[in-house]
Parts: sequence; structure tokens; C-alpha cells
Amino acid sequence: MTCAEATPLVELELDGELDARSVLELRAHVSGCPSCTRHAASLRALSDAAREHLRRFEPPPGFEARLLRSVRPRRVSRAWGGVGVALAAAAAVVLVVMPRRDTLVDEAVAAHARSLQLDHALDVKASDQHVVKPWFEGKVGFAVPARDYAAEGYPLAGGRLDYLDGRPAAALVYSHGKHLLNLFVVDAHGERDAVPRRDNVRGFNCWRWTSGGLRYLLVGDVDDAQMSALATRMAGN
Amino acid sequence: MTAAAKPGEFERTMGPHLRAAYNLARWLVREPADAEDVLQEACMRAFRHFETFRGERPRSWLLTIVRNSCWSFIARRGEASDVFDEERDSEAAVPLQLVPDPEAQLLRTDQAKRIQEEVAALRPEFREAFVLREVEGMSYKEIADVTGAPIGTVMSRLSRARRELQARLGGATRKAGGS
Repeated sequence: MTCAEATPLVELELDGELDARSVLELRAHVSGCPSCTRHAASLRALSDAAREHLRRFEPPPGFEARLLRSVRPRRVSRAWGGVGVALAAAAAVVLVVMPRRDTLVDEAVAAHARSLQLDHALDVKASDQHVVKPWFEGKVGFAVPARDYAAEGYPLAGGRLDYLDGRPAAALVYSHGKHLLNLFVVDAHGERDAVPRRDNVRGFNCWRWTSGGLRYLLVGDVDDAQMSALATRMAGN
Repeated sequence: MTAAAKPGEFERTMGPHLRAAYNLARWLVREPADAEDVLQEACMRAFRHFETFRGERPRSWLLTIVRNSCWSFIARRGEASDVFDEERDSEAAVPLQLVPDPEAQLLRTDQAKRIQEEVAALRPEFREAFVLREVEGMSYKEIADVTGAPIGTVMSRLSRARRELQARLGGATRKAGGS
């Protein structure tokens, strides 16, 4: 065996990917070759150092449980975190009698909660719709009607690219005092226009409607009357 | 699988691999908040496509989805120009560095920190292959499954990663005549 033949095999042996016969042939060569011995030792040292020192990033406490909870399609609970087994069992019973709710609503509420929790509400921070609207171009497959409702007390704070039901969604963020509201906009995929309807999920108000080929989901924890007025105003545009 | 059994089944098979998923996401997209977002999206996707899981190699199955979500995120974030181009980059392979006394050089007080930084500085393709091999202990075949690349490509990426790391980690103290 020549050095040129041995060099790539050293790595295969290190990774346990070399068959037994080739291992013997390789070792016969390496033992009599200072250059290949150095090469093998160097690779071994790197691999050992990587295994010893390379960090395995650990998720924050509770993250895995939160992640698993969030994928359940129609979970009914009030709090985003800290749901016990008993409550989960109770939720399973409730599911049977609950009318079927749009999974988009659940996903919108989860995305809203996530945007608050991770302190990651805005990808683009701007109150000007002429900045926010073009920012979404090429990111979602439709023109995003990024309107400002400052006059109604809900100034546009910016936007964020999010995902609902595995599809890109434009999240328009409005502020109202200390509260943030998310208006999610997704392609309606040919669904007919529908007037605003309200769902209450985990303490969040969610209003949804369909208009002009787009579906809208407005999520926030502003009180019912104000949310209702805002949804009506937005849907009327 | 009934709709009611699905969440429990998903949790049972994929739950044990969420730590590996988190680790990979952190190594690929880096920022903790981004990694959490990406994992959230990947988990939704995994859950929705759980019927396609054949009951074998759950870690590879989950990591494939996580990895794809990470790459979409990297592309969205605008690192597309940083993506490895096989044709452009293979020619410019880093020359093999033979380090005279590797143990002595790698046994440095700041070794852990340095190797961490240098792996983080690798191109995403190389970083991905190296982390899956050395942190997750995956075989070439498993890495090929997760990354959707042929085994030959996995081998060349790993090899490139190692040469670059050897060059960078050995460079500071390399003695003359080591070639």
C-alpha cells in the first residue's frame, strides 16, 4: 500500500467505516511509515478533542415538553406552560365534546404566544406600511395588506415571517398600550369570503375572517369589545 | 394510527430525540431563539408527516426534518451566498496539514473554547457533517440519510472539515518542516 492509498483510509478507519481486511492492510503500512503515523495521530487527536470538548447544546428547562405540547393539534388548556398530567387528561375528555375547530386558529394562537415568549415579535420594525408591505415580497406568495390603525389606537409596529399549518404566513404586529396583537395573513386557497368570527383559545381572543383570497387571524389579549371593533374595522377594509 | 393515539405515539418515539434535534439546530442556526423557532416549525412538520415514519431510525427521521428546516431558515436569513458550492469550492481544498506533535498542540488550556469556535466557523455543510459524526456519533450512511447527500459527498465534507480544523487549530503553534 502506498501513502496515497493509505491517506483516505486512515479517516475511514477512524470513523469505523473500514472493513477488517483493509484495516489490517492499512495498519501494516502505517506502522512502517512515519508520515502516515503522524497523519493518523493528528486525526485521532482532533477527533478525541472534538468528542471531549465539543458542546452538546442543551435545551432550556421545559423546552422539550413545551415543544411536544405545541404539536398536539387541538389541545385545550389555558396556560402556555406548566400544564400537568391531570389537566392533559381532562383536556382529552373535553376534546370529544368540543366542536371541531380550525387548526389554523390553534396554530395562530401558538404563534402569537411564541412571539411574546421568545421576544421575537418583529423581523421588520416599522410603522410605515410602505416599508412593511414590500418587506414581505418574495417571502410569502401574496401581497400583504399592511395597514396602519394608529387612528383607532393600534399603530402598526412591524411584521414577521411566521408559519401556520406549514405554510408561510405574514404576521403583522400592532401595539395597543402594553399589548401586542398579531394579525396573521395566509393564502385562502380559494376559500370563499367569510365574516369575522371569534374563538377563545387559552385566554387569547382570536378573530378570523376571509376576504379577497386571503385568510386573516387576529390574536391578542385585548378585551372582547375592543377586539371585536378592531376585527370589524380590519375586515371592512 | 388513530388521531387520538398519534400525539402519544409521536411523543414516545420522537421525544427521546428532541435533545439531539436541539443540539443540531443550535449548531446550524446558532442563535438560541432562532433554534427554538426552527425546532417548533420542524416539530409541527414532523407531527403532520408522522404517517410517513416507518418505525425505523427515529433519530435520523426527525433530524432530517430538523436539518431541512434549519437550512430553509439559513436561506431565509440570507446566508445563501455562504452555501457550499461543490464546483467552486472543491478545487480550493485546504492543503493537508501534518501536525508534528498533535497531542501537545491540542492540549491547551483553551482547547475546548478554540475547537468550539473553529467548528462554529466552518461552512454549514462541513459543520453539519462534523457535528453529526463527532457529537452524534452517526455513521456515514446515517449522515447521508439526514443530509440527503451521497455517501461520497459526506466523506469529502467530513474530510474537508477535518483538514480545515487541523489547519486552524494547529496553525498557531505549527513548527516548520511539518509537511
